[in-house]
Amino acid sequence: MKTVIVTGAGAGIGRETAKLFARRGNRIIVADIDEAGAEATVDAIKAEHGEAVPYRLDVRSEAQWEDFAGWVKTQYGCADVLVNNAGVMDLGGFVETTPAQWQRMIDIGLMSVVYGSKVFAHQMIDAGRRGHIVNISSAASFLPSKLDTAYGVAKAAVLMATQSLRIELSRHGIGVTAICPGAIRTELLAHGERNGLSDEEREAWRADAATAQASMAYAGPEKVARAIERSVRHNWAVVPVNPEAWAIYGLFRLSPGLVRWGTANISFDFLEGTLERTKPLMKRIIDRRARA
Amino acid sequence: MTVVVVTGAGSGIGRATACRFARKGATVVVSDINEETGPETVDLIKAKGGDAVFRRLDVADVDEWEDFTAWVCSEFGVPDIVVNNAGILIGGGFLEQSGDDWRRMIQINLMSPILGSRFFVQRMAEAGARGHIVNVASAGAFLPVAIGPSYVTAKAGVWFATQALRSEFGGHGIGVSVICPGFIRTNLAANGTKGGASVEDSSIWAANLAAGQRFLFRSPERVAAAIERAVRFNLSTVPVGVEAWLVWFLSRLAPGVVRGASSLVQMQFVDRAVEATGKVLGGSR
Repeated sequence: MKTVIVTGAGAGIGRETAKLFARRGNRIIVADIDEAGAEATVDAIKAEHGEAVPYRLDVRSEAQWEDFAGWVKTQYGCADVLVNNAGVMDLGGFVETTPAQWQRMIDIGLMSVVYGSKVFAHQMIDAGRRGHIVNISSAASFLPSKLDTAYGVAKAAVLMATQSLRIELSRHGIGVTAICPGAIRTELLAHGERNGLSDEEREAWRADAATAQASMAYAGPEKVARAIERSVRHNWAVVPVNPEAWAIYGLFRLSPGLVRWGTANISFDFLEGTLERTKPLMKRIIDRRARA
Repeated sequence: MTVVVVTGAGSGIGRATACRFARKGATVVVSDINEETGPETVDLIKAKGGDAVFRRLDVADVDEWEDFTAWVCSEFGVPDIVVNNAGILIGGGFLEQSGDDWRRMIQINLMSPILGSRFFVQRMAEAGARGHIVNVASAGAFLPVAIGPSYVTAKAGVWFATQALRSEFGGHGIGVSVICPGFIRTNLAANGTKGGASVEDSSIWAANLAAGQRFLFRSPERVAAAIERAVRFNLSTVPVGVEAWLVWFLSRLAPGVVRGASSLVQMQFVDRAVEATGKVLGGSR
């Protein structure tokens, strides 16, 4: 039985990934800062007769990562697969985002992946285990824009860190993959912040964003979970998931200037106007999904 | 009168850039954490009849950035050109480098150009002024490596952040460029450290690497010229040197090939090569 660690497994992509690996007969360590969410994932896995344990982990803390690795070692010997999935998405332009908010995105988005990869790669090497590390980057790492500047920077850095790690660990037989999903139906936006707004504006915005993501993101998180599972089997390097992720990946490599020109013409005002107009439609989509 | 701010202007690319803009008649704010080399750059500029002032800045410190921006804007008005050049090198593999190494690298090589861009663009936008931001990344921004992963991660972040900045503010009359130099003859290695090594081993390693960097590679003048060109024509991504151009295109055409080639260069070979360089070209021993 293999030991699979999934961070941020209390919701969304993390939860579906945990469930999928559990169905394949692996033991899952469900790590999340949200203990209730982690418990719910564990219950869902146990309901399908899988094996899972919850673990509370704040991915921003290097000390907690080290404790976590120590705990995994004493309990299960060594991790076989680590999925660095935990993340939040704050929105806001370059200047709108304050230095503290920039730091928050870098800490959660980039440093957490560095810490996790470091401690568990060490563990796998020490145990001589041919394991696998999967880091969740984003299609945003090919899409520089004023909507999610800091998030995109963190994810672009993750993409580079992941590829560097892949080069380094290949001689140890440890596979490393970066996943770039695209728009997925999760609670990512609802957990994030919109920088540069007042508190009450922010609450209203958060509800709208959650509605938009729930209705407009056409792909479910189980699609990403399948991509992750396949990547571990085939040791793929960089894996865009949705068609739009593939399209942006190709276009950004072909011409970064063209992509910039595209994103320069999108603004929050435009987006919010569109959101307002399409609300009835989005509501209908959500209602229909709920009925189905 | 054009006002130019250059960080890390005490040596290498920063000094060459400061001198170049001063020769063209600009007033240059020379900033560096090193209070000896910074004023030397000012002396060099003044000896040739140029205009420059030194101001100490630790780019890793958010509060210092805020004070620095306020000081520059009150003394000289909103600057016309800001060159975020200050950077460090930490060698060693992903796992060799400690959490502190990683944090230091991300703070100095990624967060500091972001902060510099953010504070000065804010001033430019508020004043409705036209201006230009130049971030000095590296050809490493396109090259995943096993020998300095924190460096290329930070530089990839800077490159991407500059793309986002250009997308957002390019239409507001603010020029934004990112420079990606290849191998340049600077003090980057001499001031570098090696992750996972003792202080002594690290300094020997850096001295040996610096011995190579002192003799090989192209002059920082080339990068200074590229920066000036980037400002004049508002260029977006500017690789400097044939190896930088090569990796810029090859990483887009075939990232897998770049990774494959890069995986041939592992830390143990680099250590041997650096030691040999030190012996041949006169490092620390």
